[in-house]
Amino acid sequence: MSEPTTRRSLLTTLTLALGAIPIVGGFFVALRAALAPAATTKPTRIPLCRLDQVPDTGIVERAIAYQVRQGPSVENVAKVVFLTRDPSTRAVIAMAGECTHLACPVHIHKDKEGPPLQCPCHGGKFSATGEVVDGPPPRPLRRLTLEVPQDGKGMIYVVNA
Amino acid sequence: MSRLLVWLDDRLGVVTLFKDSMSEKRPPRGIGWLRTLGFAALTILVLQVLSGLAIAMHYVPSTGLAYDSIRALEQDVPGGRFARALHYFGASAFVIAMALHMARVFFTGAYKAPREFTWLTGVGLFVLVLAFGFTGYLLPWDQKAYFATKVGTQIAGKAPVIGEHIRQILNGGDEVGSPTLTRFYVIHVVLLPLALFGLLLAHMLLIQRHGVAPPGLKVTDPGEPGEPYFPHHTAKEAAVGALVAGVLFWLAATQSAPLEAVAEPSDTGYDPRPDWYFAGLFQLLKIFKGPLEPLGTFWLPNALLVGLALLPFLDRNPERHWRKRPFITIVGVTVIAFAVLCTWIGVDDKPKNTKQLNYPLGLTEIQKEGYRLVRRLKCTECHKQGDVGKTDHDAPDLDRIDQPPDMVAAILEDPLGTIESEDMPDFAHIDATSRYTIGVYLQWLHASMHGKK
Repeated sequence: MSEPTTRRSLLTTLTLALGAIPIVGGFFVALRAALAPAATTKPTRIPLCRLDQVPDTGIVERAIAYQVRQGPSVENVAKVVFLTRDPSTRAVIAMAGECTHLACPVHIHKDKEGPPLQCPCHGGKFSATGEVVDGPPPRPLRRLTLEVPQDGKGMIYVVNA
Repeated sequence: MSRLLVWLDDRLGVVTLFKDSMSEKRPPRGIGWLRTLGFAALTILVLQVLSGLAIAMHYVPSTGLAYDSIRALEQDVPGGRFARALHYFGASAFVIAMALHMARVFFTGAYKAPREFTWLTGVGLFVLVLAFGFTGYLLPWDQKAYFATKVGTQIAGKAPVIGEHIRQILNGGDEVGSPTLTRFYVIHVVLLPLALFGLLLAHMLLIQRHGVAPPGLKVTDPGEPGEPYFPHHTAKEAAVGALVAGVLFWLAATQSAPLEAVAEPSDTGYDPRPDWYFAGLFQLLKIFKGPLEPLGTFWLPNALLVGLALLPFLDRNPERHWRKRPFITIVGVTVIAFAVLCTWIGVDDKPKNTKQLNYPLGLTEIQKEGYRLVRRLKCTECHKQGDVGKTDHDAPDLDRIDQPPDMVAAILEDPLGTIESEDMPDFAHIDATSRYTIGVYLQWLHASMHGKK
């Protein structure tokens, strides 16, 4: 039972719609700025350790430290990296120390029993090269791209951490 | 009525409101002490607002100062330690009171028609209180704060399609950092309170509109009116409110809220554990392995939540008494038993590594930066400090290192060339300023422990 549209009712509807513009517009303007992430700049090449500090067998833990600007603050950030060598090619492998499940800090498991890399939170277990052995992690540990010195000595760099 | 009250009532309508909702409102016969749990939650809310206000006056939402501002609050502000402890225990009590209130509404069938939206707003309030807990965690910026938030925002990131966007929005960037702290502070003290009071108002107006559900009767049976709400039932509520507040005051007076060492993202020696009210979820996450993992992080918790929200629309049985609707009662008991069991096992999973190197209030920025580097570079793997670190290594304790900062910097760069140590790894890969800062910290540490300037 809609009433016939008159000039008066049409104008009323349009005026009401007009009133919604500042609210909807303001909402989007505010939302866009409120949700925007802080501007982030970080270095693209970070020193990790010298090549002769990577052992022939086993895993070592190193931290890469660098500065990140997030919005107004410049902070020193440190991230754990596990270093090992590929069992067949002997190439240096660097893995991020964050569990791929929910980013808890993975530990080197020092006992002889069990996989060598373990997450203390939800029971994720990884092999020496970061493959998932047990637990909830959906992916192997993230590999970092490295710049390894060709002469067999000198500093290893992490590229695009 | 006195002339003043009549005058006020003409203008504000408060006396009429009081009569309509309190002194002449007659809830059904048979409502007892179990109907006071919602009021218990309301009492805790008031305490949370007041203690939270006190904390917020002293808190600094920045990664450099948040942790120290909490310690300054506890050490220097009169009543500061009490306020924070009250807020901490209040958060737990809030979750308990709301869970019990919800269980009561569930087992008495009070969510049924026409009170579906009262239930729905209640579920919304419960979610908001958990969100308060989650965002409040981060603010002290200690180890637990950092890692719990990291895990929590990762869980949010597991939602299909939009998950990664949600995580980025929560973090204010790629990772948990200083933008996250600002966001969580705003969410905790502005957004969530606004949402909470909006929903609470709706919840109260709906309670006012539909009254208390008569116990044990079918939804069509309005029951017989009992005694007026005021003063009989309100007296019970006042007693429960006083009891809850008394227990919380006693807890806050006798115990402090925990505070771990300041957050250090690179600390791999840390075993993150959530507070008890997220321990059930924590345990759930461990159950599902490999490809089933999204089940634990996303589908099951959210299915539970959606099921809870839609309960009054799914359960169309007109009976209210729990014995007359065995199916839903069994479902409820099973879910509660599962939640309690998961929480129990989750709480029982204690972290193995709890000791971290800490520093007192009153350090300069440079000294603090040196302290952070000492933790980051894991100096305590070989150099003991107090009860932190290895004991089986012959490296000197950190506080025993009595060298000027530039010497420490030189040793860090080249241990073999300076102190002829073959055991100590070199730290040539960190920049000279950082090495010097470590020296500044060690100099302070030595002076503070051994009283030398």
